Amino acid sequence: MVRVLILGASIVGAYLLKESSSSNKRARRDYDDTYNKVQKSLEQKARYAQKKNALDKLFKVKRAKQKVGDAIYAELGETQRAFKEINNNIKESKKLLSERFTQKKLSDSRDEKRALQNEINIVLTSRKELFSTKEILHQNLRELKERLKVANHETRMVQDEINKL
Amino acid sequence: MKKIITTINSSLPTVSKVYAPLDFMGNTVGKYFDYKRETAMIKHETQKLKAQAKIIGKQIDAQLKKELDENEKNFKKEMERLKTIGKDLENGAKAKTKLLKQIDKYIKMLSDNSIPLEIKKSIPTLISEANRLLAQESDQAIKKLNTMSYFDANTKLIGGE
Repeated sequence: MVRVLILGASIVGAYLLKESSSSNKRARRDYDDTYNKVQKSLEQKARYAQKKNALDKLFKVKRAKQKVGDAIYAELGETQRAFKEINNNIKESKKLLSERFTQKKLSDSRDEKRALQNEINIVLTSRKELFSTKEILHQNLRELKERLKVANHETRMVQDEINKL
Repeated sequence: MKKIITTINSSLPTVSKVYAPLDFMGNTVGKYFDYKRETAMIKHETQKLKAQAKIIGKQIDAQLKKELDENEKNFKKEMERLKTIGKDLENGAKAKTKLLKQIDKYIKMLSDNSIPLEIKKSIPTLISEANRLLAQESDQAIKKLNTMSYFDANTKLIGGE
């Protein structure tokens, strides 16, 4: 009878042991799975955060670069308008010069001819100054165009970085 | 049944027919509780891991927020600087326009017959002075535009790859 009881208890014990062992294995498996999932999700989260930050940064840099480009473009537009105005002034002065030459040619009075010549000299000197203005503006236009090229290149570089991400 | 019992009994440790199976039972119960304890510990570790993951996730979020805020702050500062330079350039452009209008006025004065020659004589000098100022304004504009370009992705904003 005792033997039967011991045997029964042993069978129950062996069964419980087997169950505990498999429950332990399940718990371990569950831990490993959770560990892997957590690891993966944290890595993904970190990567996402990094990417978001990098993109945010690059978009801001791009906006700033575009602002620089806009400023150069505005300056370029103003200078081009100024350049046209100076060209008109040069044309105007040329017209005036030819008028005074004609007047001088037609004039009979020596005093009037002298006065006209003086005026012609003034117009000629003024024209020289106007050409100098034109040169200043021309130089300015060249520099601005170069500067705009650099700004556009910088903006494109930032866009490339964004595309890479 | 008798046969099964005999087989199991014979497979049990044979030091004593009575006590050896009891030892075996004791070991079994001991192992059972060991496993139980270990399982509980692993389950606890799993829960701890999940909690830690939440904390690390929050830390990543906080770090990102901190970096984005810092970026935002630097960006605002940079945009403020660009705005100031932009305003300076606008003022420079106005000054240039004024000078060009002045030159235009001088050229018109040249063709005005009512203006005495003595006054007209000073016009080239006046245009020359306007030119000097114009060149100065143009140089300053280029210099200002050059200072606008230093906004660099690696130095002005934090984070990134």
